[in-house]
Amino acid sequence: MRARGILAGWLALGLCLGLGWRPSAAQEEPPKEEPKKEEPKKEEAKRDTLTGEVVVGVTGQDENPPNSAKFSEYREVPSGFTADRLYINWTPKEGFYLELRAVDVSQLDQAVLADFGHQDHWKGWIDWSENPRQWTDQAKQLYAEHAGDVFTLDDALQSAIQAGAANVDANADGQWDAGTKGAILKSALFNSAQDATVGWQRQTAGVGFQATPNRHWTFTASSQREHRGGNLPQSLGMTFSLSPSEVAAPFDYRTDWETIGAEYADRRFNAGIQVTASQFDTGSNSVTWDDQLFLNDTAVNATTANPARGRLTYATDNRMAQATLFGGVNLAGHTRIDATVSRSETTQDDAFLPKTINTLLTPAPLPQTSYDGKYDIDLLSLRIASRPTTTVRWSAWARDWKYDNRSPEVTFTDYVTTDYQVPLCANANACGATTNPIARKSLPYGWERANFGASAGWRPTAWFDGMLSFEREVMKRDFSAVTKSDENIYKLSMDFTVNERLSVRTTASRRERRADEYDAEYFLESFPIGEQNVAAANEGMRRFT
Amino acid sequence: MLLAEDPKVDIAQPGDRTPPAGGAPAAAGLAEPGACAMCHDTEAAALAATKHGKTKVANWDGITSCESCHGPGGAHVAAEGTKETILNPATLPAAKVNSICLSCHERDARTHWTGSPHEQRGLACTSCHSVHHAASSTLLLIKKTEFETCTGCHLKRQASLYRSAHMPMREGKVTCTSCHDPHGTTGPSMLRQFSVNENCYSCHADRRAPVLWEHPPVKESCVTCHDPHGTLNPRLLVAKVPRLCQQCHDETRHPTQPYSDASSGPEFFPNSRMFDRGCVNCHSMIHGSNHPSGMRFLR
Repeated sequence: MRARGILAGWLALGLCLGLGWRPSAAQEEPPKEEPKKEEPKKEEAKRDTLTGEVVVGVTGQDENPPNSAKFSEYREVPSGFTADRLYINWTPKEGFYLELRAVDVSQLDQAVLADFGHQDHWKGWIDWSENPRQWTDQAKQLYAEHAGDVFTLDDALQSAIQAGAANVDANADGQWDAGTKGAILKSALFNSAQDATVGWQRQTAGVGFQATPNRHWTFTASSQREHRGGNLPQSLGMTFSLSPSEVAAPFDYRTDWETIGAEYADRRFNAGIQVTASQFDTGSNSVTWDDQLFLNDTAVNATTANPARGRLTYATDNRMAQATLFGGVNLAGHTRIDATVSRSETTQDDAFLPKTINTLLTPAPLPQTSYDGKYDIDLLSLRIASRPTTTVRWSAWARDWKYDNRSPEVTFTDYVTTDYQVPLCANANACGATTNPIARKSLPYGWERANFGASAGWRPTAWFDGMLSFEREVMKRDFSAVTKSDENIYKLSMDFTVNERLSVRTTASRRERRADEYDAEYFLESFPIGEQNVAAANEGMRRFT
Repeated sequence: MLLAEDPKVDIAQPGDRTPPAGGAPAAAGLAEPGACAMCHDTEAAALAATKHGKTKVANWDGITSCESCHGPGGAHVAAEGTKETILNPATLPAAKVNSICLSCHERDARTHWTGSPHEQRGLACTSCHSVHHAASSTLLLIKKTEFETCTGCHLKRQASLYRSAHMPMREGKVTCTSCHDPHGTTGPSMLRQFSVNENCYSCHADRRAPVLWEHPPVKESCVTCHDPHGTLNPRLLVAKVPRLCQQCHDETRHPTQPYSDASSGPEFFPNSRMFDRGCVNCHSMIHGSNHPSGMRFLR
């Protein structure tokens, strides 16, 4: 493997510089006098120290360029002078500190963290990190990229392919015969395709602050922005024109996070609240590309309506907000109860794209211009754990998590999956099982998971620990064949600690899952007018009736 | 690593989180300030460089410095350092060690430690952290990196992460605690968020939106199709396409057997459902589509 050659040829010259600056007498030998004579506070107040470590060097590769992009999939492998690691700790005066850590400085995968504060009172941090994702360094594509994520092919090529003969391999040599569509396209790929960059760079910047005004209270606030930009390998189906393709589609994602929190802690209990908000912005909401097989939109017949161009959606903008309450209380007998309650809401309202951009087709208007999607996530968790004696422990818990999809059910009176469905029958619903545009309704999927159980453990000796637990999990789903299921989980664990270096851990579990409520034809809800024959033909899900 | 320990050791005060009946114990029996460092100078010097050594915050009993963890040291000094007169966490049961640490740290991320899988399997705080002799530059870990610390026990995960498709963990770009909180959480598998998907969305927010046409397993759990710890398939998929898709979708529409576009000749021509991304060649919006005609995730 050539990557090994790269590693073996790595020339590393590390230089460690230890910094130790002591303008005051702060780091002198610990006093050997009697403790009573120590009066450290006044002297420590003058403390001003700077310590650190810098690792620099030269790296190189015995192959350039390397043969495998996998070697640098998530990192930069530099050549020449590198600053591998930097660490600085500065204490300007008693209690205050500044720590600076950096790795792979100036490289594509660099990370920097500055941590500063006043011990026991407050602290802050600023961080910056980057890392690349390289899919391959050998990608090629025929497409030319234009603004707005539009990819085009040379008209002459499209025209030649459109006029070419159907694919055939008459001499059975494993190659399409000359003059066929496949041969023309393949030749173009070999001779005209341009190098394409497939990869991205992720950059994250964050800042945070935490204050602890006294022993009990902690307040936090933080913010983070992540940016991911580059080119993503995007497969492009032409909705049954039998010409799937792929491009290095540009994207430009930005995600922001803001969090604030407060917590109170005492000997008996602690409780806190955390509020988080997040916004995701997609740089582009669609990709448009030329069909390899057709220069112009073609006339429609019973099975095809070949579009000259296709368009698909991309990621949608969305917003999320979450509030969480948590806490725990310590009771007598080494018993603790903790609980968490949380609710979040995620929304999006991106505008719909048109059903098709085939110029020969005029689909029915959309029932609405955007989706207005929304879901909530609710969590309730409660647990009690206890160690009544030195050898026995037990715990019990209950947890309910619900994905409550409150998005609307949108009905398309003449839904079309493929372009060739558009012109056939309008909304007649009588043109055949697989090709007519019929009414379809979106089914906003939601589900709920409830989990509760208990466990008991016994540790009679230093070398043996046993634990027995029972857990029951109930799932409920909207718009699913299995609308309700439950599962019983029995588990027995035994750990044997032979010595500090050797331990044997064993677990045996038995799971019993059953579908309490089963609806094999749940998807008929997606057909408001009840075309059961169409439904049966369309749905490929494994089901049992 | 599970520590060998003597379960018979009493796990009562000091360091116990259970409040005493009569209020905080008296500070009687404390050693003179600085007494510990006179004998344990190496440990004291190492501790002084850490936040444990710098903090002035007392535990709930009002004790600071060494004795906040090791208990009152007056008797230990008087007995000229006999081992029986002082608490040594290295020889205590895990529950006792944890009780000492939690007397200050039972807040924030440690709220859910008690009853967590690690706690229930007998791990101590010192199974992963070393107060005096940390090998890492941050977090006081017993190993140089977090990855080494976790994979000291989780060998199967270590093996997964060395597969061809992996998270950038061995490159040091993410860590175990990017997704998990080993101190216990209310999420499955000690995930930082309350569910698998919420955890994934913390980086992949582009998958977070509710869309017009949902693919139910996508919204139910990302790990239905992906194994974030590493696989031998592209995109961390748990199986190769089209077989991955055919675990649910079979028989209708696209039959399950491999098939070709040109069946007349002796050569096998895998069609668009077989090569490259398999089903996703056409169903490219497999995570869900917001396109009015995207019910089959074609666009």
